[in-house]
Amino acid sequence: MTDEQLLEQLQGANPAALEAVIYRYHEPVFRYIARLVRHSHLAEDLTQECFTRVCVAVRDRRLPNKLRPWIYRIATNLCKDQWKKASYRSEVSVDDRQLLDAPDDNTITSILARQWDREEVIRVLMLLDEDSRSIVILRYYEDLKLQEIAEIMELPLNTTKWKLYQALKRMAHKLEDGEVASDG
Amino acid sequence: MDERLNSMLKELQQDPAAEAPGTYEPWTSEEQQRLAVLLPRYTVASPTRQMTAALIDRVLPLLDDASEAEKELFDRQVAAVNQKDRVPEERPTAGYWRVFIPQLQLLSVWFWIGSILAIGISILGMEPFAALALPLHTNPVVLTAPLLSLGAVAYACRSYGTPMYELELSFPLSPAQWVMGRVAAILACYIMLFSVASLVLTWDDPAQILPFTASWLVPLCLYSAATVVLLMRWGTMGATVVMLLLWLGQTLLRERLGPFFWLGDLSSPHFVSGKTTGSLLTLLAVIYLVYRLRGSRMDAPRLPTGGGVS
Repeated sequence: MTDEQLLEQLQGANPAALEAVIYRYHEPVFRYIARLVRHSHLAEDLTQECFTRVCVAVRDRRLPNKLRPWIYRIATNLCKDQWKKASYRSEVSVDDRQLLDAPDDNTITSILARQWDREEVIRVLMLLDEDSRSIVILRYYEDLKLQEIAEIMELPLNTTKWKLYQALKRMAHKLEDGEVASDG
Repeated sequence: MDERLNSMLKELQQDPAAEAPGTYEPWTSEEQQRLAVLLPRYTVASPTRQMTAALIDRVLPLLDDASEAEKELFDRQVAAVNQKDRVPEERPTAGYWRVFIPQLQLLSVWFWIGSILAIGISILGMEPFAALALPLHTNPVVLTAPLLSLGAVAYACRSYGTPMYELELSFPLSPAQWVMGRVAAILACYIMLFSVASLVLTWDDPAQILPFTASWLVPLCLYSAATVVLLMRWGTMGATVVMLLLWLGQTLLRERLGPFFWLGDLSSPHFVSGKTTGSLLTLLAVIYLVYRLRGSRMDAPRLPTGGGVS
């Protein structure tokens, strides 16, 4: 069933359609939020809040034209609200390590190397402004189309493209600086 | 080359934004390579299907009755926050096995083969040792148990105080779970193996099984607990050296230590007092460990420098 078909079903507040939406989007939305806030418990809470808002909107018949950008926009706005809270910055560093994937059968050396790489990517992503960070995560990690990202971020398509280009360039340079520093 | 990144960059280059505030510089192969290697490293855990089902259970009632369902959801959120740190209560054994089994797997097969061999040799040495009729008031099993336990604890916790320990703490274990899980795994296996040895050695005289078990169990627990305590203060190498010297001193001085001779067998005149002081010291060491580990439940302890042997 396509998103459009699901959206039609949601017009009638069909619980099965809403269940299907949650099954389809819970994992990507959680991953998206987790990458933005870097805190698993907070990501769980924000994901639940996101789907609560979706559900209330379905109940009140306040539905958008497109499902996916709408859900991600709610998630993005929740993260932005979270960033504004003073308590957020003191929380993130504690839980970041828990977002690691379970260790696999690789050697400790390779796990350590990947963890350093991961920390480096996070460090560089955090240097970006909030919009650019969201755009990179939506485009690269969530594989959304630029048009959808523009709708989510409520930005013109050209601005979204430019921000993505600038963000990737900046990341590449910062990652190079990091490599040079570690080599030196 | 990362296909997704490749298509992203192509898309940006082939169809650049009109009226861009700057120029689109082409991507160098180094930049592409760097992004292709590092971007996929930012992995995050995904929610389980159970989490998705639980979310559906919490959210779907909102469709039916606004006020009641919203109130119920709020109540559940409050309860969930209160319960967050008590999830293991639902299945008390699940958390224990989650910590215990990986600790066993981290110890190599050779460690277990060596342990079984040492215990086997100590059992086989009992009869020749008794035949010598030396007035040592100890026996190979009682001597092997603490020596093996201190060696095993030192081996299992050899990363403590080293960068490897910091890495191990990046797995979802608290320092308390890390130490207690590993030591508990070793103790449980050794107690099982030595219990089998006790059963074999006292097969003809079952009344002796309890005193014989006490003769090796007390030093086994005491040396394990003391090794962990010292390890936290002086690092792995310091703890191992001190405990080896203690074991050597006990073996050489024996009865001259009076109630502080913990390695005595049933023939020792200080058997009861020795095992009692040993038990009390073990208890003290365990209390100290619990106190110390409770204090470091959330944060990695600042570790002693040096002493690591990994």
